[in-house]
Amino acid sequence: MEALWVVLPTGQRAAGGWIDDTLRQRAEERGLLSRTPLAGVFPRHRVEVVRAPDPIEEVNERFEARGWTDGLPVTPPTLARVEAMCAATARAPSEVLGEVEPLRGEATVEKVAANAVMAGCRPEHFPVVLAAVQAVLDPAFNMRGVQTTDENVAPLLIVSGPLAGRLGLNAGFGALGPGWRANATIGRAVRLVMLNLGGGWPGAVSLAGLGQPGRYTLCLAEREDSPWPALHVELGYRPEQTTVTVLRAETAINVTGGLAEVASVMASAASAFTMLHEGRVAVVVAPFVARRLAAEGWSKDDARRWLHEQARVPVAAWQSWWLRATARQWPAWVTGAAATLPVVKEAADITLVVAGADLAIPQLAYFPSWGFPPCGVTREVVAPIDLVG
Amino acid sequence: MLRASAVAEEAGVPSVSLTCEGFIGQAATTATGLGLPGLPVAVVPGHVDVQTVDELRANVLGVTVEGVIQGLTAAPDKTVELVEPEPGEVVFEGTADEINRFFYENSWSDGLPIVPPTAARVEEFLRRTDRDADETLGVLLPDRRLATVRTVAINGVMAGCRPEYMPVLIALVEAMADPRYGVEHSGNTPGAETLIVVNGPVIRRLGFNYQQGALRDGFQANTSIGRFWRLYLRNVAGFLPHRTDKATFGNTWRVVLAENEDALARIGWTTIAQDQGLAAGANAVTVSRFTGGTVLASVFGTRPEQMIPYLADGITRLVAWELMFTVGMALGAQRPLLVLSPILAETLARAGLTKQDVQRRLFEHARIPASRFERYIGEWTNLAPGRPTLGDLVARGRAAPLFAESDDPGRLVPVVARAEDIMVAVSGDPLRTNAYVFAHNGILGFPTTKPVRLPAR
Amino acid sequence: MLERVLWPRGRRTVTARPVAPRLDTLAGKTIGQLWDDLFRGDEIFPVLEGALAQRFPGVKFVDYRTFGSTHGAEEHEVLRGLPARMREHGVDAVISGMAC
Repeated sequence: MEALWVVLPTGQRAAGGWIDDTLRQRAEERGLLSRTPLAGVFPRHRVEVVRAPDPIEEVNERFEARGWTDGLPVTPPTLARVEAMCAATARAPSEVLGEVEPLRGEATVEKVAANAVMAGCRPEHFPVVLAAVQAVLDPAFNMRGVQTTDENVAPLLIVSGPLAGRLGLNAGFGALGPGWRANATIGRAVRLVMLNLGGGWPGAVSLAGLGQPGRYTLCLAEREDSPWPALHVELGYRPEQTTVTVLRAETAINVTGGLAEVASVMASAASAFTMLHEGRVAVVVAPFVARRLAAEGWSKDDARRWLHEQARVPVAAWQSWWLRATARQWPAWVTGAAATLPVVKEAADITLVVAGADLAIPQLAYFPSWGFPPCGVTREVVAPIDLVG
Repeated sequence: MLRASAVAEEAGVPSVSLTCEGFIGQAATTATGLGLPGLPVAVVPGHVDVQTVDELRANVLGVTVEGVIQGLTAAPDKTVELVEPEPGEVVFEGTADEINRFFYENSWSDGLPIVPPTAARVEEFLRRTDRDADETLGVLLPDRRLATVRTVAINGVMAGCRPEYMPVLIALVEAMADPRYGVEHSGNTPGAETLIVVNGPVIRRLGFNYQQGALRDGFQANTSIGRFWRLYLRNVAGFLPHRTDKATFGNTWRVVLAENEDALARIGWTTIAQDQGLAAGANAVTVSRFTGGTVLASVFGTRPEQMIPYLADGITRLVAWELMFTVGMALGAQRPLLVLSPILAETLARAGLTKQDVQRRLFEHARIPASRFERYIGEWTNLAPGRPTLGDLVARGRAAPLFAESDDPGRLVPVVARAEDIMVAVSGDPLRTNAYVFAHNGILGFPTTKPVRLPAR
Repeated sequence: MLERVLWPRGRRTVTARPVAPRLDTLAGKTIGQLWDDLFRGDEIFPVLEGALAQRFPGVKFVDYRTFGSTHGAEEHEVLRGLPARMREHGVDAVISGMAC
């Protein structure tokens, strides 16, 4: 019989209540208990000792039955692993970063660490996870909306700065996945935090009808060899700093071609919520495309302005959309426009990121947005000196 | 202002409370304390004090408006009952090492090994009282947990107490639960620590040390009972460092101070318990919270007039911001403690002084200039906002008249309101001329005395 | 040797009461403002009023001065008289500030 001493990753509110008790009730009401038969069944302590012939398997079985996983296997958050994760930050394990909506479990550094361990993060990834969690706890991210809406939105994490490479983040080949542990696990850690501390249980709290693959993990870095200023420099940070920027994203639409093709994809019903909510969208641009544009004298601002002017929805098309009929409060810059409607309010609402393989193929990706209020939240990644030297 | 929201809710009117971002956690705790854990809040981002007019407007429009609409129209979560283990439930099985690790990792232990609280050991303790195991001794803040005889036994086992200490432990928790003590302040920023004083025949019966080294570890009764107090504050009151215990530094538990009642009887002085209103010879514990202490070594002299000035000086040296418990916020609530070794008490008594006489003499000598008093509570700490003079405070009825008999800033004023506020105990090495002074935390740990009731047998 | 040990904590006695029922909409409703005279509530309330009036036709507001400061020297009186004052002005809901 082996034993694993695990730190429980689930949310407890400031006043002491456990979010699983509310979740169990919701699951029961919606007939979803079969997915999580052990919802709310766990010792109400910080640490559980799991004794079994194969304790890793046992932890996975229990956590899955309790509703604490995304369906993929997790790394048991043992005391040793959680402590090693917490050592990657100067913050105290008991520090509360905020409450995660909608069920308001406290995001202590330790609980975030436990979820990061489960996601498969290494300690050096933790500073990025912490910055990303701080970003999604910003009211502008509208965590409550993201967790409870029936729309299929995911947090998109973009890391920019010198630490990205040093901490193992991929900005090159397959930047949007899979294959690089940092990208995969950092994005997943944020999702597990939303699940286990905020209570975003599918079907019980999170009503996203279809979901999307980005809800497992969605994290990339910007290429440092971009011909343009880095995202974090554009945002006013110093070049030697590293940041995480979070946007609320609907599924990526891959586009091969140029800005014109991206504009045509933007100007479709895929951008309906972007327009309704005055959202901020993202366009990922492969280095091949960025270099060509830069060589022709285009800055990021030029590219943004061009997309803003060219990505226009004909009024007749907009009027035919389902969302047009069902939602009445469209912004004035949409309803007041003439024959064609812009997709975003201003060029600045388009975030451009240079990432992807350095191939001679013009690849881009467009992420529409969802939700109030306009969201592009950035936080600095702070790594202790002994982590990065 | 959450209180106002609570009043509205209770009158059937839905409310939403505008809450600054940094206050969210405290708002949740406060709402729960008001009995309304579901009280809706609407966040105002950032710190309003540092935002420009435009920034504030943008934040309110961008975030707070939605929160207001949600708060007034969205059905709040049904409040679900808090699920935790049952008190006294078996919570773990393992070896002694594993039990210690489990208790430590779950924050139920102070970092030293505990004695595993098995049902058998707890039963031993419960046999030493004739009170029912489930009898409630009180409800302790901040967690609002029930303090029961059973949990007293469990924590007593853990602390390394002997079963026969049980009546003392029960009396201590009764004191802890007494609202006059103010246990809810035990996690405040200054981080003062409790001192337990024990009186009565129980001192010798249970083997408390009251001689040389009265405040040292090494004697099971004094040491383990002191430790019990802090374990109970942790596990039942709910004070945890980095969470509800916000002491800047804090202190570890003090060993129990037992008075030398032989010496007191010889000189005809009252005990602390008697001073607190109990009968002579009563078994009792007195708890009080002290911010710090210092030893007055080499108290030199054969007559009171030679000794009192040094002793009084010890009291005035150790009081500073604590003066806010003498005037202003709390009137006359400061109770510094002077512990005299038996030989010092005997020397004073030989000159014909009772303890009360000593208190009066100390009161006369333990004085500081009014300007210094005012600086301690005003300019240096801002604990009395507006830097009032003692004259201002007397005029407002926030200080006894004797503090402003003139307006000369150089006039000497006492540091307590009355002579009897200076508590005096007798303990320590009977033949060494040392005294000890403790500075007091006022109403945030007010001296509270409870009788120790021994079982009928 | 294995030992079975007991939980050392006490039972929590938090009594939770439900909040008042929420409104279905703010349109046509009368909203009272409660303020403790701190943290720029006087700037925040007008902004909220403007935004809510735009989104909810017919919404009315009762100024915070009507009720008195919720955290001054007269806090107890203000709170004691609050239910009657709310009734008197037909208040359907309140926005209460500032918890900072």
